[in-house]
Amino acid sequence: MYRYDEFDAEIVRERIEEFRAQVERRLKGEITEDQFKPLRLMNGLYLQLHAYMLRVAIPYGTLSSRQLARLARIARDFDKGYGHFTTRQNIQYNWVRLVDVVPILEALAEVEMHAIQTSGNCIRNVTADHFAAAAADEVDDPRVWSEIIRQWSTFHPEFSFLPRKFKIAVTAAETDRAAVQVHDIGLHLKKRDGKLAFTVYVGGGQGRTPFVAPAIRDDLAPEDLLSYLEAILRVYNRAGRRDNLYKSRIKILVSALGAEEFARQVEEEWRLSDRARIDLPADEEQRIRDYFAPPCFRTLKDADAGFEAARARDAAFARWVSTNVHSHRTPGYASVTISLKPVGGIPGDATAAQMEAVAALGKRYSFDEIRVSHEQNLILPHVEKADLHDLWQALKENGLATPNAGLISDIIACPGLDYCDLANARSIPIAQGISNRFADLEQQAQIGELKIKISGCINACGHHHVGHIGILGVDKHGEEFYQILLGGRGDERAKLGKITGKGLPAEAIPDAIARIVARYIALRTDESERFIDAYERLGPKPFEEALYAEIKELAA
Amino acid sequence: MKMLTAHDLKTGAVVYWSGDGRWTPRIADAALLEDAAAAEALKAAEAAETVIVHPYLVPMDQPAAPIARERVRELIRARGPSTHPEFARP
Repeated sequence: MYRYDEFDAEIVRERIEEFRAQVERRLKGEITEDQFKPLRLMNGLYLQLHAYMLRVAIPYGTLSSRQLARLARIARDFDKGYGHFTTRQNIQYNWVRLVDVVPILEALAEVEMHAIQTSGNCIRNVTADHFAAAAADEVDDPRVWSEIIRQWSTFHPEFSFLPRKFKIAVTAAETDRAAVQVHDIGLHLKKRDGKLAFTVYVGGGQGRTPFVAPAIRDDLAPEDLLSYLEAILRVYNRAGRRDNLYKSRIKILVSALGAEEFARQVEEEWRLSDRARIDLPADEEQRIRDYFAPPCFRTLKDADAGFEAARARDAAFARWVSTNVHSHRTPGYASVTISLKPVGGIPGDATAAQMEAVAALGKRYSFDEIRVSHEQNLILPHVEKADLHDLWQALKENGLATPNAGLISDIIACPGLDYCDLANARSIPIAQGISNRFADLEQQAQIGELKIKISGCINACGHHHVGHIGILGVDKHGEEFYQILLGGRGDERAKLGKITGKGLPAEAIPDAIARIVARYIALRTDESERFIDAYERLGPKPFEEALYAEIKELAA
Repeated sequence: MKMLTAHDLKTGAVVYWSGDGRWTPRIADAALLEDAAAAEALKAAEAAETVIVHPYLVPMDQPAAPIARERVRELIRARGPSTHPEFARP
């Protein structure tokens, strides 16, 4: 894992001292809220519906056990005993007091964490594939490049006041698990003619005006990455709109210019730039790469007799294995999804005790490494197959063994109107309603992969545009309504979902989803045809008909 | 009619203007103010920078019953997240 050097530690320490003085001045009335607000936001501190909310960065979703245990302690000491893992692989505390924020930041700094660049119009925390360095279909560790981008973008003076926030995601695997094509910049590292090259997607994003990003390069040499990113950011910083909040993201600029013209301007800027000054020397890249050296895997046979026997004898374990255990590139190992989506639970929430349990299990079974996925689950990336049964039992004791990764109840949901100042409608109760409706895990397994994503407003933190079924909460004269989208996907074949007809009230949603699912089951060729495959084969019509069937009857 | 609400500066907790010089955590104790009185109370609250943060007015037609677009939002603010009954406020 990456460890802070002296420079990293120093800038985090200095920022805390700066913020300490700012908080003191705010409390004494020496600065107004209008003056203080941008300063607190620069340190991840928002004011939400019920309290202050602190968003803590988890770079590319990677945590050590010590870090996760510290996050647990903060939840216990300074919050109401839980935290919320977000779709940007971060954690949010919902109940912090202003007077506790500096002590929290100090506690974070001790474990090399902070809340910098989790808000504001800067380059935000870089996200990456949660199976990095474990997935068999990977050509490199995307975290090496994510860390390089993190170091380059942290406090980058030229890009600290962009027209709008800026999100970069990186994957280096064939299957895109980081939704790179719906980011401001998505980097997909691939092998091309035997050499590594980035495909560079620019101008994707969800929100009010969603776009799947066009690729503006498919042959960027990794050693040119930073200068090329800098050229993109320069074009955006110069030409991106600052007159209208809703038109200020880079996606609007790329769309207005057209991808080709935007690419031309980037190439020109890049050609003129001082690349030697910006790009990382090979020895520096190597220095960073060394932090991500693979753990000392044991030499094992891929099949483990104990594991196979446990799977044969214990049906509940076998079910969990079939959904939450993923193949690993190293023989005898597997990656594990720890579901933060218990039946009827709150997607992404974890109690302090659960975080402590996962921290301890990560230390014991996964080389001290834990990941946060953008799908709001935790991951143990490197577990010996022989340990899986013991791990599963330990997870079960902590309410963390729900066998639903990738299934209909593995729902992404933003905090919505239960917490968020921007939301128009609640998201979490909708997720809970669907999860309870499909509480039968056997039935969920029969339905197969189905990604539901729910946002409580048009900003789309819950990724509803790329849900196989997306749900968007809207406000209609003080009542919550929900629009359903169909056919979105956030993977390497990213597509935006199609908005169906009229919105439905909250209580109608679980049955509406059930009707769509029933239609899918009736129409699929066999169990291997996933919902999204069937949708792409058949188009929206049969599913829309099912969705509105009962409603038409009521109206008639 | 309106009520005046804000957050406690130090804790971020939701508070309501009681009309008798106090900020209260209970929406039931929020004063129901005529428009002119509400505007005046808001002005005073905006000056009370060291006590509260983000003061604003909410339309109401009877005590503890916000109306219009803010209805659901303000009820959740008053009671706590609907998903955590254990944190519900009276």
